[in-house]
Amino acid sequence: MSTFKEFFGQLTAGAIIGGMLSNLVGEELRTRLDLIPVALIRLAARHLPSDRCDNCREDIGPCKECLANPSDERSLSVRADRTSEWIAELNHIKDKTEGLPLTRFLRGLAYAAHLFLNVGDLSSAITGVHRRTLVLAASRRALAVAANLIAGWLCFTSPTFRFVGQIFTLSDPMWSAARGLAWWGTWLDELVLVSAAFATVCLGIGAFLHAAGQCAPERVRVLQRAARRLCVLGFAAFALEVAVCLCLVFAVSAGDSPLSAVLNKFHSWNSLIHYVNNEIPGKVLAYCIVICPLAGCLTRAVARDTIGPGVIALFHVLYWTAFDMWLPLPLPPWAGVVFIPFLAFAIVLWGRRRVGLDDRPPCRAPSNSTVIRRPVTDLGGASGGE
Amino acid sequence: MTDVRVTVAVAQVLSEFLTDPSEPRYGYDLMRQTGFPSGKLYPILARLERAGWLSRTVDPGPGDGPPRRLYRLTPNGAESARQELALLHQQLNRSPRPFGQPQPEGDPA
Repeated sequence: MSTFKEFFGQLTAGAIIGGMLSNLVGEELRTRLDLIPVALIRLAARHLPSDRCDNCREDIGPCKECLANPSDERSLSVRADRTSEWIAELNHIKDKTEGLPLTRFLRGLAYAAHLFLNVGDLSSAITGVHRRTLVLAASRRALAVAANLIAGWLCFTSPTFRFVGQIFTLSDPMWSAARGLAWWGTWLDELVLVSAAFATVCLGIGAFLHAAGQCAPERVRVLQRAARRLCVLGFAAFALEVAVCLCLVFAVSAGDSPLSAVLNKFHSWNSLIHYVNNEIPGKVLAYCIVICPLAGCLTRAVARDTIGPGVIALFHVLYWTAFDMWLPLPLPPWAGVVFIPFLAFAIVLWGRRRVGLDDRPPCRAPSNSTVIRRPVTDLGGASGGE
Repeated sequence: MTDVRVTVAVAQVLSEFLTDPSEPRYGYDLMRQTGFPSGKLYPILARLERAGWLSRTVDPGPGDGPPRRLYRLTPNGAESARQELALLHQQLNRSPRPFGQPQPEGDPA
């Protein structure tokens, strides 16, 4: 009898718990399923044109004026307007099918899925532009983003791998002993390595977040904020690294110092300015990008005791090439291709600051020249110790 | 105001509006009346709106959610729609000429 009671009690408890669980799971599923049409509508709206005011930029976000007046009619984009309309219709469908969860889901899904699949036609109808033109424009934009990503990746990986390679060379005790780098193997090298790795990772991720901002304009502000913070962290690590190396330079011979190695790696990082539609994301970052490579070149120029300080040495260390080959010429013939746009960029920054413009100068030329320079120096074996 | 290419689908939407030109309609109601899916109806409505034949207004409504949008024929739109529908009707009703037969006398086409 007691066994039957126990069995009956367990059955009742199981039924109650099972019923509660199935109810919870059913509710969860119903809520999740209801979100699918909304997600489809939001996805569809992303393919619509944005008609913000002239000062608003698609990749940067709304301008300060529109942000300050969110109720302003022009700040309501086509996307927001259409999304609001479709979600209102979806709510109406839900109201009409109250108590019929399957019908509600199917009708909502059909409504949203048809919109999603035909949003190209709608976009063309709204703008009056032929659909083929819209597809071509979208393809061109996707190609530009892909090109930026590839260029960024090349510029990022090249100095990084070279840097890692050089660190490994430095860490070879035989090599270090031969060069008189007695400090290597102490806690200082670990500090340099850690800060270098941190700088590399932070700056690299920061640069890619900037690039990702182009792919997701709606999240560009969040991405840029994250990227800027990472870049600041990266440059802080870089500063620590340089400070440690500076101490070491004065402690050991300056000829093949780690400082020259570290700064040399960073003189290619001006390629990062390629990001965010070829515009610089921030004033501090812009100046760091300009100052770090120049400081690197200058330091190496001063440190090269075989040549001696001077302008020629500055160009020499910029390319680290077989100097004898170019000796009859006052400068390497292609030095201007890289160095002059780079200086021009610095002058543009300074000039824009003088006239009070913002910190977004067009900077395709110096970054492109860096992209071009790398394979050229690699191909000619002119990159030397980089 | 731009021109609208009146296809059979556009004509079907217009004729729905012309049953009572003064009555505003919601997008979903038009979908049910015409039998068109959303992906087909909204581009037509957008083209008509862009051409100035339809006006789109916000219906405040009683609910808490986003307001629904109402579509209404403009006076010019109603006039143009009638003309275009009459023309389309005339073209569709014209009996097709059998291939190879000469054109009957007095037929301007």
